[in-house]
Amino acid sequence: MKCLIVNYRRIVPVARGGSMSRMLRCLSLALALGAILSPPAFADFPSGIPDRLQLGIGGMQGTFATGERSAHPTAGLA
Amino acid sequence: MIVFEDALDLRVHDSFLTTDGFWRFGGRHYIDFGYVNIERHGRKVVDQDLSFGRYTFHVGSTADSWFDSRFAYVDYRYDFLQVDPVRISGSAGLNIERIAAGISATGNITDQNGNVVNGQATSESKYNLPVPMLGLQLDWALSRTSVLQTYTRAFWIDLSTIRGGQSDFVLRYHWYFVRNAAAGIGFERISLNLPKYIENNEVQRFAYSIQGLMLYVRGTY
Repeated sequence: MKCLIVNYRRIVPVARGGSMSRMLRCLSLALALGAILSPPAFADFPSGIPDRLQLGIGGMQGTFATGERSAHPTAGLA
Repeated sequence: MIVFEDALDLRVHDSFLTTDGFWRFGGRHYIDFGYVNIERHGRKVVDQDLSFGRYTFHVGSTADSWFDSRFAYVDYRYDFLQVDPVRISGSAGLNIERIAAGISATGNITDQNGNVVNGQATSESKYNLPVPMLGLQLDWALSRTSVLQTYTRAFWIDLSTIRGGQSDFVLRYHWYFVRNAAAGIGFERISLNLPKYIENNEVQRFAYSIQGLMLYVRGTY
């Protein structure tokens, strides 16, 4: 019988969710203020298309692969 | 190495929303940003013993599993070449990533000491990974209303205790059907690979990739 083994440790535990959320909120606020208060860009690209601020939203059909499909019986995390 | 898609029946193909954009605050200076949140869930009767966290889930236990990943990206980008109709830029940024994987199961479970667990057992692993990224981007205006865009961002580290990295690749075509809005189609691939991470004399490995086609709309101002 095979036994899949997963180590249960943090990889790089350098940030906490709370501080990260605060940082993201600050960055978002700075970005929004900067976009509103800054002068218009002067070199539209392509010609006639403004490119001072762009926002995009889309849907993606993704294919996922988590872990590796090779046998390494004593290591791993997925 | 546990493979969630195989061992716990997580969907190999799934759809999700993605958002991104930029703010150009000078002739050549940009702030790029993006956000993706993916939540996948599975349910399966375990057919191979697998250990995750403090528990070992034996054959026959019914397991609910999840694998959530979130990527929040921000960078500074600079156009070092601007000639009509091409722009080429380089970027330096940070991809703040959160990955959470877990299993919740009932029946035929033992803990790390080999004791039988009665009822439900849940084990979850969460990781916050701020990954610095360096990038190269090409924007090519094919016509007055269309742009081909491609960029790659990557980071690799090789030290005595950690070796690994991440790469993102995007290829997109934007069509501006009106002056302030475009529709687009593209391909994206995100790949994380951590073949070595040593902690407490234990070697750990991690690999995760997402790739697929995207359709989107863009607003421009």
